[in-house]
Amino acid sequence: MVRICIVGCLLGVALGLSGCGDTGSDEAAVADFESWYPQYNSYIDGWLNGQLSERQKAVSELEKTIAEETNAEARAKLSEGLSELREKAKGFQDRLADGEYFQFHDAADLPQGLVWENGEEQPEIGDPAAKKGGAFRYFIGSFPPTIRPFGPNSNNSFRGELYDNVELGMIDLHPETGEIIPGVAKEWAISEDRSKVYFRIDPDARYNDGVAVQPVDFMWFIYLRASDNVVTPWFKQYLREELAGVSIYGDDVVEVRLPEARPKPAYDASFPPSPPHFYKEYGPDYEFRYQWQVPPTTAPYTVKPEGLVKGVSITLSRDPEWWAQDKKFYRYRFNADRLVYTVVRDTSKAWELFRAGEIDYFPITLPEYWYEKSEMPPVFDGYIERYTWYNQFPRIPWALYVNMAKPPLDDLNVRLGVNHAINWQKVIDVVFRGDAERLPGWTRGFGAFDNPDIQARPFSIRTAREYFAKAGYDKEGGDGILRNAKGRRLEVVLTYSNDPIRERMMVILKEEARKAGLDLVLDGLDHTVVYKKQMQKEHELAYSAWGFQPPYPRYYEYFHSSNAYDEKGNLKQDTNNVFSFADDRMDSLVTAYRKAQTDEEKIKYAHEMQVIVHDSGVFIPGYMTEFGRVGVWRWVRWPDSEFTEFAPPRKYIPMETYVYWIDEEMKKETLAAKRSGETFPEVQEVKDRYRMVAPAAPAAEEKGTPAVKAEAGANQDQTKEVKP
Amino acid sequence: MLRIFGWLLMIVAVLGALGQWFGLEFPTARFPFTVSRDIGWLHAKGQGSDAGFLWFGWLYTLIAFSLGLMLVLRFARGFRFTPLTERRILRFRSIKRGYYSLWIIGILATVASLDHVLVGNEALLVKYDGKWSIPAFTRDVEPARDYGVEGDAAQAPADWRSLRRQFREADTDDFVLMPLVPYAPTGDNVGPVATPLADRDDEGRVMENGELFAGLASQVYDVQRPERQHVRYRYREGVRDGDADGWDREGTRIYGAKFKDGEVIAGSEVWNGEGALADFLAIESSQLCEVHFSPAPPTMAFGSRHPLGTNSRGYDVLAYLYGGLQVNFQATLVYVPLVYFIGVSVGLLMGFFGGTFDLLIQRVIETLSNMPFLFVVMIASTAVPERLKEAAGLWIIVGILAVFGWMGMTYLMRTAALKEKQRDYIAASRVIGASTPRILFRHLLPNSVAIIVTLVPFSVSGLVLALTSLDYLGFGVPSKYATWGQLLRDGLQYLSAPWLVSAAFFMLVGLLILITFVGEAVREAFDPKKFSYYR
Repeated sequence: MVRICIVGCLLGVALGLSGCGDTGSDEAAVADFESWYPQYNSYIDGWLNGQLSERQKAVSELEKTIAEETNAEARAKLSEGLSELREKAKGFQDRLADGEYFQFHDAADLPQGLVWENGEEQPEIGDPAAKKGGAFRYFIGSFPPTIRPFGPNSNNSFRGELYDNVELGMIDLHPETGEIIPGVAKEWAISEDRSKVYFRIDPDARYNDGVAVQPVDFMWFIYLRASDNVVTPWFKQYLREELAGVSIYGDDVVEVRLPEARPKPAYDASFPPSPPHFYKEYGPDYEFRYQWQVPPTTAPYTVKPEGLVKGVSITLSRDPEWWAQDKKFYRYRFNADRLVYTVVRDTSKAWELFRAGEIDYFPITLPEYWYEKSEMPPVFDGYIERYTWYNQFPRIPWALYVNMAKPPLDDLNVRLGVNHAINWQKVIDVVFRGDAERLPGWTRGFGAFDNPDIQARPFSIRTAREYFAKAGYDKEGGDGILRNAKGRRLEVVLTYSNDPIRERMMVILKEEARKAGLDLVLDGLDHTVVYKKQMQKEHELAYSAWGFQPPYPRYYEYFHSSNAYDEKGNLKQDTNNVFSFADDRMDSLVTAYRKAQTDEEKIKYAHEMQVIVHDSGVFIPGYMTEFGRVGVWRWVRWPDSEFTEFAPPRKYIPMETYVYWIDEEMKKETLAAKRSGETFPEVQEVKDRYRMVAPAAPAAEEKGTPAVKAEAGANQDQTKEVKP
Repeated sequence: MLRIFGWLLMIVAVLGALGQWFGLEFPTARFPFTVSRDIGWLHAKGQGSDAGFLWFGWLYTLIAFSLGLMLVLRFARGFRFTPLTERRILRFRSIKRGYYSLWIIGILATVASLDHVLVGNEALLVKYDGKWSIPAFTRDVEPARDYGVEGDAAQAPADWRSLRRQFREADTDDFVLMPLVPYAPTGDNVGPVATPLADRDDEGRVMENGELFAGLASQVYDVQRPERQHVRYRYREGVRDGDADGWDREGTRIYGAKFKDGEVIAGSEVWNGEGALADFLAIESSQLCEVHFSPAPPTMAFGSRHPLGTNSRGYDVLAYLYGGLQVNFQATLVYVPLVYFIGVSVGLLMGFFGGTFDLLIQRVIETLSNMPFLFVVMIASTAVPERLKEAAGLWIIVGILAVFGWMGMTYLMRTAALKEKQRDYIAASRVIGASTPRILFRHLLPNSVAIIVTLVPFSVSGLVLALTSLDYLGFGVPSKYATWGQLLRDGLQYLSAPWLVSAAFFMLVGLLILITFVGEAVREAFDPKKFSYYR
């Protein structure tokens, strides 16, 4: 699914400024899909042929090398590479055999024997008691540099609120079960080889301006992003390499082809339509012409012209005639009439606005908000309610990432010593006040994919010093830092982005590491610079995290040697393998994991890979939180029904599930009470229906250590949920 | 006065040299050698990562010593200033506000130069097992194992504050003498701080500052390490209300309950520890207290001494302010001589030579003064490699400030030189055959430099302000330096912690006012018009 990958990239958001600019001439271009798509077809054809002949040449060269190789071991390794190359070549051949990228067929040409699914068996989302109406007011830190959904600067953090979180693609994932539910497509079918997906467009599907969604609109999605009128390097690569083509059958079926079989093909093949009637004037001046225009979408919300006050606020208004408002999965969501996002640059100012009732919702997961700032009269008086909500989102792997290409970290013993010299527990105790937990390993929150035997290495001065001594650092200098026989100080640069809370954490890590004789040189930089430094593999230790998305943990990008070194043996830039991790066993496991067709197989490989990652000490797990905490004014109501408690769990932020509603009468009552000094009972609730691990203090009759058992149980449940 | 200063300079230089030779660290005197050791190109390459010959430190010591000697010889007993200068000094003394301000600044500088004798986390004097040691004054770090510490912490450098507690509790004649403020300005996280909730009203409800208490209150296992809590209750209107939690000594949560109006709700208690719940609740832990994570408010309770609280990184604010003061003085001592040396000589040369040279330098000055200063600082702060920044962060910033700070006085000097060089005595000395340098330095400089003196205090206040604002914006010195700007920034992020912003504000404003008073008085004393409206 396109939108998910974009959110992944958001970690490296590079914000820039782009003025409205002047377009040179006002003469509008005319969008011309009809003459563009044959060109693109032939471009893809040429690209595929080029890739294929390149691979074939490599195959024949490798065959020759293998024939000349005498060492049996080296030969086996080369053969492994050979089969991988052949596999790749075959992939290109298959794509060529499938014909052109864009194809148009009659309804009669649709393959026979397709099994159509519609996801209707999935549970409802939200609460039937939800009322429509009212306004939900929140704040954003800065005004978006553009409101175009694609093109330069569009990948800013507000795009989620504006498009990605509300727009309907062909299908969506159920936010509780993780299974597929219908979107613009009312049903879908998957080809036998799991690489082609057929979507039948819902005849009711409309854009906000009332125009019906047509199959060709999905081709326009590709046209708008892949044409040379706009600079979108990420999309261009994605559309060329992650999709194999799009075909239309008759007037309501769209086929999306993927380059290889996938466990969840419908999810990978889904993207939203783009309205051709809006992009009539699409041309080389797109970037400027559409800078402040909001396209009609399939979403329940859109921005009306008066809703856009540049530099001040953006208001999304609900479409009262939204086409999906009576459909299952959507009827109890998207309840507020207006979503008002006001620019408040300073978080402490935003907090004061929340306190005064000018903002309806505030995330208070951070301990200082939960334990101190939110212990305030509006909470005591019951005007503001506080909730703790357990979710099931993959835990963000906040950790220290070790670049093993940089000395002294190329030495395993140094890495293991550093693992033991990093006192995350103190950070958790002091900065998070014990609210967070130590992250055990590379992945967490993926259910059965997490290896339960992996535990993070504890802080231990003695063990750390033992490992350092093994690596040759056994002499203590006058400054308390260890040195090796050559007199080299044991110092490692720790790169992180200089946000005040991170600064606090890193300062503690530095003080503690010093006790183990390790000097951490703190290198606090601007966020984008940190990202760049990691992408260029110039860091030694880096504190950061990747935004993982369900359902599968990823390994290839992070651990395959082809992402660490190029053919010449130099560090490869701009890949996610920030560890510079290269290991033969890992390579074959990663490949096997990628090719695995069933979850059981994938789980087996994932567990084994986690052991390798753990043993190599390249990933120093930090902390994780299993919950989010929010404060809301009491008129913002949350579901408490058989379907949903508070908010579905497969989201990171409860607000983004859009299941809340605004109770206008309660708002009047609360404001009147606030004026007259009347109070309500204080509300502070824990919503733990979706909690994955048993609470640390289980009920009295379950004495002993049931926490482990309960966790295993939760994992089994997870397996069921994760299965495609 | 200047003679005493000369003697002081010589003593400091000798102390520093002795300290370097014997591996000791004297307050302030260690400074040149520390800088020389930290910054790569200020010492010769030694073995491995360690510094070799500290040429900069020795050079600095030599210069300081000869400067001191020169001052002592030059202003020997019985030396008298020129009548004009004497009158100026007299007039300065008569302006009490400026005169006393100068004294206060002098006292502050003396206090700041006491360094780790006054503020620091290393013990001044330790007696253990009948042996004496002075950890604060030795350069080598002393491992805790030498002081009877066992277990994991034995390998680490000694933690003198906890050693002092141990020795006191052990009731032997071992003791640790700590500095007056036993916390280092930076790099010394003190963790959470507990404050007692002792007040009760007639009905036994918990009070705080005369009002019924609402918030979280805990009993902790050890008031010195309040992060390990025993039980924590939520209080509303002075009684237990809402969730209660309990932890064992390892920090595992084993108890939970809900209260309503001071009573536990029946059936809401969960217990997962060993033994009986009643025993757990009856464990002797501290009295009821509030646990403050950083930033913690000012408190002197339970043996923690934070009269100004702690900042968001868990550093003692008083120590941090002191560190900031030291940074300001250090920066001033480098910045002012540097800037005035460049500014005065360039200005003098411009005025004296005139012509093409003058025109050329004027253009250079114009170019420099049009450069956006903040951008240069931003670029420099990202471009400098992190190891160098860690070692020499303050000096890089001071260097950049100096590059942009010398232009102001050049035009004044230029004007003065232009005026003076027309005078007869210059012409006379030229006729006698004096060389250009001799004319410049023996005649022109002493006669035109007076106007510059009035600028010095304002340069100092400008520097203090610039350092503070750069830190406030986040482009300042690395976190190993304590700076007031950082404290101000902290204070604005934690509006609910007023002790941060007020401490930084009062120190900054106080120092700036003192400097400004001195500046006004100097300007007044040097004013050629005797009667002016400034009184």
